[in-house]
Amino acid sequence: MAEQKDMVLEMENLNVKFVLEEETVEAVNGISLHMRTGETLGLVGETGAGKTTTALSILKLIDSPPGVLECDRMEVCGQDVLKMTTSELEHIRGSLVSMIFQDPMTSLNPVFTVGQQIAESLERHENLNKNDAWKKAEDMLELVGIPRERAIEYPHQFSGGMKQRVIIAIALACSPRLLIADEPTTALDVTIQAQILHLMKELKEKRNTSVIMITHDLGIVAETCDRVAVMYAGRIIETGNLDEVFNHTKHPYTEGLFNSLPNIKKRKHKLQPIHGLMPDPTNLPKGCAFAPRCNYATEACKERRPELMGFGGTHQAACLAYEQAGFHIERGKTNG
Amino acid sequence: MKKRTYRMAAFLLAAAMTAGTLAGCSSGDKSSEGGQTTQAAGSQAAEGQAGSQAAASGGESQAAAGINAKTPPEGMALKDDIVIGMKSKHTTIDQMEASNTQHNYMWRMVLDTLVHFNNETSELEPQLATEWSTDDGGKTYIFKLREGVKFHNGETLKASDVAFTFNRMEGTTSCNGLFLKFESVEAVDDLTVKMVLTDPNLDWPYMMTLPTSCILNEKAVTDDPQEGPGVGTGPWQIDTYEFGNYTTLKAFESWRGLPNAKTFTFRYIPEDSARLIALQNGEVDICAEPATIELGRIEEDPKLDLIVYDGGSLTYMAFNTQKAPADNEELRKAVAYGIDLDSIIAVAAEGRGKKATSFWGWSEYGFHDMGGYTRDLDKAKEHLAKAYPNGGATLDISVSGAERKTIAEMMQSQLKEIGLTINIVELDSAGISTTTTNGEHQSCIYGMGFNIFGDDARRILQPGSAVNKAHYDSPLVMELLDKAVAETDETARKDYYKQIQEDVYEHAPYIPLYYADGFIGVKKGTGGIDIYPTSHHDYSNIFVPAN
Amino acid sequence: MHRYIIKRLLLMIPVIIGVSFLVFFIMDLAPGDAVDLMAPEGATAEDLMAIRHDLGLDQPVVIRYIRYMGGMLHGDMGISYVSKTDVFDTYMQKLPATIKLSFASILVSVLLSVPLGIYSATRQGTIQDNISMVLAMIGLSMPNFWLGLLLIIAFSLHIHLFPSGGDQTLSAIVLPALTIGTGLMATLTRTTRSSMLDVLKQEYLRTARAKGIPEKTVVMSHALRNALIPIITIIGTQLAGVLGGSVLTETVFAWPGVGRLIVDSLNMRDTPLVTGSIIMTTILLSIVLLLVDLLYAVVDPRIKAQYIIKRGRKKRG
Repeated sequence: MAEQKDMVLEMENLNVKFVLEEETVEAVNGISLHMRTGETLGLVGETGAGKTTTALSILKLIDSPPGVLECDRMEVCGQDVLKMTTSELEHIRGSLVSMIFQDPMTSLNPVFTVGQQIAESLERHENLNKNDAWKKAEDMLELVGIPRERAIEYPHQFSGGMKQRVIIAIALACSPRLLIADEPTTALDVTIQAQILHLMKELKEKRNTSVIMITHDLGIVAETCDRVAVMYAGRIIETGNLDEVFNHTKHPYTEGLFNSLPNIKKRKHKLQPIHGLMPDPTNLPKGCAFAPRCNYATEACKERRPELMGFGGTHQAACLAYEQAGFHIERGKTNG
Repeated sequence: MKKRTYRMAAFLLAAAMTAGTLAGCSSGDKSSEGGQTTQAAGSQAAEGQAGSQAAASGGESQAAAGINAKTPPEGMALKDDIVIGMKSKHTTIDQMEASNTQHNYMWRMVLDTLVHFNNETSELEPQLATEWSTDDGGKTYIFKLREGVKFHNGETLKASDVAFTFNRMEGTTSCNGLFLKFESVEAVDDLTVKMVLTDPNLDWPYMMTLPTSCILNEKAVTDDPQEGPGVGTGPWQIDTYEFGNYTTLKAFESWRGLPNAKTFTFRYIPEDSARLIALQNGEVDICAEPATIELGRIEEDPKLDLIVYDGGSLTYMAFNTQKAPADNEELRKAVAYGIDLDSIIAVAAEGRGKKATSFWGWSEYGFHDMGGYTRDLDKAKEHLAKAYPNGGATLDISVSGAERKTIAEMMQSQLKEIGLTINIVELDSAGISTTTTNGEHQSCIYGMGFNIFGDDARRILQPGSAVNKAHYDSPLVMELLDKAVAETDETARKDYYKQIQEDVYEHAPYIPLYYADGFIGVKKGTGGIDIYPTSHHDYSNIFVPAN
Repeated sequence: MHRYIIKRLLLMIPVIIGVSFLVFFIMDLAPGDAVDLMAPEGATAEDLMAIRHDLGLDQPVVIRYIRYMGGMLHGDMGISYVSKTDVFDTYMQKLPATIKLSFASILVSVLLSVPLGIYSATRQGTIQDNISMVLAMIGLSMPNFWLGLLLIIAFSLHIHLFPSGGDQTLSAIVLPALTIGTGLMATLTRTTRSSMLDVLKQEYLRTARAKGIPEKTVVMSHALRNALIPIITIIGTQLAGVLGGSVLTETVFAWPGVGRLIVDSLNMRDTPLVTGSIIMTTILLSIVLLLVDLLYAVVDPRIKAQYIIKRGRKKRG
């Protein structure tokens, strides 16, 4: 039970489908996530891998219809999200779990002042009156590095990085246990990216918040995360702690991701992008979803879907190739 | 005094209707003098109307059926505040600025004329003047005024008020025509007025019965030129008004006595259906000019009465005699013999009209039944062949309004049979008024309300008159009119008028079509409305049952 | 901001000149003149000439126009040919009724359309959405004239709830307002719906939801305020439209408003009254549209910023 109390998120076998008139999009297929207090999990994958859908599912913010959410178990801080009524859900959103969205330009309501937008969740979750909520909103602004006088200004008066700071202030206003950051820096300049990441890390450590960092940028993961989960076509194909996944990569797709990163040390080294495209989520292959793009694929890969298997410690990967004794990927060979 | 053929017919019809009423009331509770009308009586009136077109159902025949009784029955509780729904709006309270149905209602209630025309006896009666005379064959008139008549502002009527009124007519919109007919009007003493006319006119006393010659108060008008013209001697006094919305009159104890109600309000409800619903709903007590197609709803409603009267307004076709192609008499006659009047009346006027047999008002002095033109296609073709030996005849007919457009359309199809092509030119009322006055039209369908005196025909036959839509210019007709208006011998006078009607019949500048019936929808049991064929009814003595 | 308002007000002057010019000359070109209609049936050509001279109608149209505009400069809008009353007074007498009816109609339209549009948008593609849109379309497809009569027959003749017309009682406004309001409904409902659909896709609503804001507040406060600009535009145009007078409805319900005043005077070729009324209506519409523009700034801070920036630039230039 003590261990249970420590768990911020327990999610077993999440499936999300979007049932449209013509077709069904299988966005998330059997994902399980477990997070402890203070932990930062990097959720990595290409666009369309189902990262955002997974994140939204935690808040049950999937539009339904057309979205259909099925899950064996989903608990946030020991509370069963699946059984919650709408109003109970609304109570944990923003207070237990908050979210930072990808594009700060469009994530703020243009007709309310930033102060109002921060104070709103304070009023709602912390039972503060208008004045106190406003004061605390100003405090939050200061916390994210914006002068408190600017609380009366509107989003259009802020730059992109400042907006993202405001969004972080909104997300952290009610001291959530779990913060989901959906590509929080993608839309920002590189210099601003570093500032924002630094800010997030600082605040997270101060408040001991758990973070799910959704990104396609392995660099960010390396900088900020304790654990990594790599997603492909709605599944987790490799997961483990930073060292396990980065230094002992098991899955060919993860390998592909690393190979497609530019290497500053070896400038002459050619980039090796993963050839092909992600499979159509409305028509996933029977076997391994990565098989068509995989250099190591065998006939078996096209027939059978691999399950996650352990590689010692927390490290797990889903690849049939390891059924053959002695198989290793190239990166594994050179690195370690 | 006058030939009133319709009265005989009316009597017969009234008799027939009374019989019908009796048959309808099986229980036999026969209503006595103008008591409550049974429902059967109402619908009977309509059947009688539709059944016999030639016969007239004047006010008296309906009175026999209990509709529009002259006086309220003993002990009947009456409504204090009466409302009439009007199709047209008031635009002025100055009698010299407007002379049309909606305003004339008001003038007849608020103002008095020197002489009164009794619609039942067709006799002239004293009103503000107790007696009048001419001793030079209609050139000079002396009017003796009633003593002690009070205006609404408390002033007493004096001869100077009459002189002031007549001299004020110069340059006014509706009375300038009357002004041009006299040389002088002056007060001889306090109660004697002397009028000297430009030409002898035996119809002058009749003209003194028209709303245009109502008497105003000199002091009121000089003190307040805006509101003063609304001060009169009638039993009703203008209280409040908003043009285009309402005008409210309040009762005034005049020399004519006290009215049967305390207030009388004109409400402008231009839409026919809405006006009728307001009547059915009890929001108004009188619905003026109900739409012909909706008359059935009044007849069917047990809470309403439909007052039917013979209208004096003639719908006619006028040819522009000064312009091709209608300057050709043969073409005009081809049209006259080529149209079927009965079917036109049945369709365009829904059968609610009386066929016109002469170009003259049926209630006008000197009416002579010419028998009208009977449809004869051979004759029509003959005339057309004379006008257009090579064929290819076309004629434009200018019209305004749905009913007249229907007439033109029927003529179009009827005249096609004789090979005459009709083009219909549709205009709005202002457009047709001006184009026909200026003589830009080839022919038109138009209408005119004839007054009771013979010389009233002058305005439609005299060259240069705005309503001479035929631009007819006949020296003979003008000579006959001049002779008639100065002729003291009745027989000779009527003969002149007969000759005029023969001339018009012969040359066909105008084709008389029909006199449309007039209708008023009222709350059941309403009475006291003095019906004028000219539609300028007098509501002074109106009463409406309470409840 | 003040500069902007003053500029807009000054722009009304050429508009008024243009409008009055057009009306005056079109009235002159139309067949028929007031004198023919005013004169009694017996009038002779001399009578007509006398009246024409009296009214100055014997002068050429250019002279009459210049005289009229000269009067306008002194605030004199002329005298009605027909009723001989002051044009401005006559118009102002009818204006309150029209303003009352306009606002009542807009109120009906807004109260029906905005909720319906929001309801539709939040249930896009469902049967409720389709039913709502059909409901809104019915309002548009029923001619005011006919709908007005239907309402009178139903609510006045049969259940005696409201008077059939006039403006004598307070409740008399209900039926005409319903008639006009439902006629305006279709456009406003559709605008609300599409504008809301646009906004509902926006990411800031997801932010609001993620904050735990209840769905109702998300839709009614966060979304609606952003969807307001097109809605206000339509309401403003519709208000301007009905302030010009709703002739058919005013006729059916015997409502003494400016619409009927203008049409009646048009039929009588009462040029000063027509021109004056249309000028007054033009001024009124310009003011309404200006207010709508100003309202944009209240609703959307970005537009307010634009107004201010424009002024700033001017100052610098």
